[in-house]
Amino acid sequence: MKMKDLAIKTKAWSWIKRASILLISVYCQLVVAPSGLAGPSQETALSAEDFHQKFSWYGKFSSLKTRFVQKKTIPGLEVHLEAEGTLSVQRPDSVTWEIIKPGAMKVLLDKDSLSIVSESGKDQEVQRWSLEKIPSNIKEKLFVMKLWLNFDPSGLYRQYTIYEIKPNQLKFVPKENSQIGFSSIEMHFHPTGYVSRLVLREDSGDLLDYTFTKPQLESR
Amino acid sequence: MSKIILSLSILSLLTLGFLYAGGRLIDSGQEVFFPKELGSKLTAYKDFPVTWWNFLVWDLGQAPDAQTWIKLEELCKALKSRHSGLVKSLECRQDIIQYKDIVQDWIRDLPLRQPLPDEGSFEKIFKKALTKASLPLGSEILSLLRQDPFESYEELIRLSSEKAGIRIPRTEGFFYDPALHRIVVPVQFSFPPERDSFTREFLDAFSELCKKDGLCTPWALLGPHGSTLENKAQIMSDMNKVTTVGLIALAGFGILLIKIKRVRLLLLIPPVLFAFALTVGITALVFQKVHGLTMAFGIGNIGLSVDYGLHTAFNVGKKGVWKSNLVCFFTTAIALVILSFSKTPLISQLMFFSLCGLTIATVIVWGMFRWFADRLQVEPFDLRPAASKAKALVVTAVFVVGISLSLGLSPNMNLSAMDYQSEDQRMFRKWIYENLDKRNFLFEINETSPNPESSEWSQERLQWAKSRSIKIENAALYLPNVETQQRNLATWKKFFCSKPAMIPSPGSVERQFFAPFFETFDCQSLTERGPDRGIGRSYLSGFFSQGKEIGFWFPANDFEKNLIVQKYPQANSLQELSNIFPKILINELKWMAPLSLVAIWLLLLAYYRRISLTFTALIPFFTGVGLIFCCIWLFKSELSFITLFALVMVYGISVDYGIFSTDLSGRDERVQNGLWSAMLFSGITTVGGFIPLVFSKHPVLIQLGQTVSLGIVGALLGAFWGVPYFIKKIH
Repeated sequence: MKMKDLAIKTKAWSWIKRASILLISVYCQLVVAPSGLAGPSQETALSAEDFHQKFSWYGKFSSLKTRFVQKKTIPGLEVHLEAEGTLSVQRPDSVTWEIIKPGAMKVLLDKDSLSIVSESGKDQEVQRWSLEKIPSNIKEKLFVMKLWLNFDPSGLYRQYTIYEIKPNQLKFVPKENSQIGFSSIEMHFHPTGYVSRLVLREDSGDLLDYTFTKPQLESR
Repeated sequence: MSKIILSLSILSLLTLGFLYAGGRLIDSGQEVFFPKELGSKLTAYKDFPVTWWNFLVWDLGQAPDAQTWIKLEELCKALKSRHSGLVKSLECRQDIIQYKDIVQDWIRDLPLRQPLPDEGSFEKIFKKALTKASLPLGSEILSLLRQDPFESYEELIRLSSEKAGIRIPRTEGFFYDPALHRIVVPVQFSFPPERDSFTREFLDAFSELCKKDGLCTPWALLGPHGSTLENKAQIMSDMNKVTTVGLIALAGFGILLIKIKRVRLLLLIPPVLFAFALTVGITALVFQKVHGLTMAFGIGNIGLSVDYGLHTAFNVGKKGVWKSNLVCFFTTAIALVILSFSKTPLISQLMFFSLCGLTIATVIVWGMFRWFADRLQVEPFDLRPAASKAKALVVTAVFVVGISLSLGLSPNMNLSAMDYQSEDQRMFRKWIYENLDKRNFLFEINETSPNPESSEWSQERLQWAKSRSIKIENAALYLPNVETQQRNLATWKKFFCSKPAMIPSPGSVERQFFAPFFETFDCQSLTERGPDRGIGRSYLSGFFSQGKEIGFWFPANDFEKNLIVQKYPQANSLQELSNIFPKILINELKWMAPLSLVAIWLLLLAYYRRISLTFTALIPFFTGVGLIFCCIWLFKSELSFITLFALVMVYGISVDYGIFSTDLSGRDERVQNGLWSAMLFSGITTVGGFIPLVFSKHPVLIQLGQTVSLGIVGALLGAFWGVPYFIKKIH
């Protein structure tokens, strides 16, 4: 392997990590978007059957598009980082996370590759990696993502303990040995059924708070 | 019986004394292997921390599963955290956090390396960094981004990755060869190779962690630290082994003497041991330390004095005994004196040690016989080899065949003859060097007292290399020249001092989030800063040592290499430096071997005053040389410069047997019995002194032991079977 390739790969792995974590959060939104079910007020773990029931609507659309506003809170730092953008999903396995503010950046995932596009116009930089050549720990993260992508409730149930903490509010706690990078995932649903808010707590303690507008769906 | 008790008591006391004193004075380093002109360059090279990289290599035995990768990561983390004082960098996973200090210095010098982008770009850079920061990132990367929104650390990663120069691809962050299931971890230590106790500490920790998880068998540390430790450890181990075998041989010799009722001969041993202990002290005074190899081999040479003692003990009261001994002593001394002029410190020290010890022991033995001859006298055996044409033919055949076979042998004159490598090291070394991009490099050391303000030396080379597209690695690659630094710095000063409105205002998100950056770069700090050569920078410190600077060239082919050497004659490759060694040796052997031959031959001629007798005295040497070459050919042993030096020693020693046997001519039966008995015992004691070396593993000791032992056996053969026949012919 040439040294230049090595250097690019060094940079690449850190980006793949970031992108895959980001995409997991994207698919958290994807899965619960159509559910919108009210639950019991007690924080009780959902049974597998209840969980399957909540996701039964998921197979009814072929694409989804929604705008988001993100607020990142870093413990010990009196500052909130805000970002805005669009999330687009094309079934079965294509997703785009596009940030338009404060700068332009796009993360794209399809069946075979992961790409990151920084800036736009003449300053645009594109980095692309084949999914086959990424390390196993990142593969594990992508595997979890694929569960979301394929809307595999059985697989998800194996990965997470899911609590219905309030009506229209689910909490996903990764089970033991999970390495997805989040200590907890919280979802808030709009009464009409789509996810209005997603709160991710990273292992580092950083808090990512996403607010989504109503998704535009295209049925099959 | 009282004599035996006395002998053993003295022996024990001196052995204990030697063990106590010797343990404090022993040197097992590799510096003594290299002639001054080579050693100084190699030592200077090894002084630079940038050369303290080694490869930790191990076999996994099978393709690793996910669990194994996790264990490997844990192994790396444990090594890094528990031994951070010993390790500067450990390239297991690509972990920029371990380079925290380097990265901080690198970021701090950003205004020296590049000009501030235009105002529009400045704003864009901050927006881009903020966008990235909004993604889910690890706290370490986030902290880095806050310090370095320009993401200049990525350039540092690129340069560092290029420096590794390994062609093996990374899997799970590790350099992993999927065909052989081998892992390579480049490791840069924070201490020079000579501090081998630290290397040992690190390797013990690695070995323990490895074994615990069953991750690596076998493994090896390749590089300057690994090689130094392995050689030193082997020398010490060999010394212990040689001492043990030597003591066993001595005990066996003692038992033999008791059995054959020649116990008095044991009294010849204490002077040798005493001379040995005294010589250790004298050598240490002259050379500051005594090398382990010198001590292991030197005692064999000192033991030659026993030959003179035996000669005298079997011939007390006979005329001309000490005359023969003296000629024998001088022939050996001539060889030792001539070899002591070698530029290789080890050989020079070894010869000094041998000559000093032999002289002391011979004087003591002479004194013992001068004053207590009757107490040392022993009855000779009835031993008189008859002159036989058949035996003489065998002797001639051994010489002729040996010399003929030697013509087909090509000696290994490389330094590798002095380098001990374990089986694991040999196995991994070949493989790793086939997978290195930067095997063929040149290095150059700037020895002149460098100006801390100027980087002219490295800058000039970098510009020259760039103009010819030759790869180079020196300090200038990381920091531009002073003028460029000043220009770059001026753009930053101008922006931060004269355009405060363009800087994100206090309280803004940018200002708050990138606070570490704005704390480092403000008008005041930039105004106070000036150009820097980078000697104190952690990312450059490896290129500097004791006021000297090193630079590396990586020519793609011989044409580029020639260009570099023409322009910069001081540029050397390690390979070329190693080649200096055989050149020096060949030059030395060119004059040492003929001079020894001629000097000893002239001494013999002066002693015998007859050319025929002079040649007769050399028959044992000829047979010894013949037998050595026959055995090298037969057992496919290595013929190296060590063997050639040992041959010169064999010359000095074997001539003794030639003199003893030639001097027998015309003497009565009793004298003959005494001399042949003395010679037989001398042979046994000399071979007994050198044969323990064969049990060692270090190539230097093995070759010396083999050559001298075989040479003495051959010399005895020549003396017993050859000399009587040729003497008879002459008469």
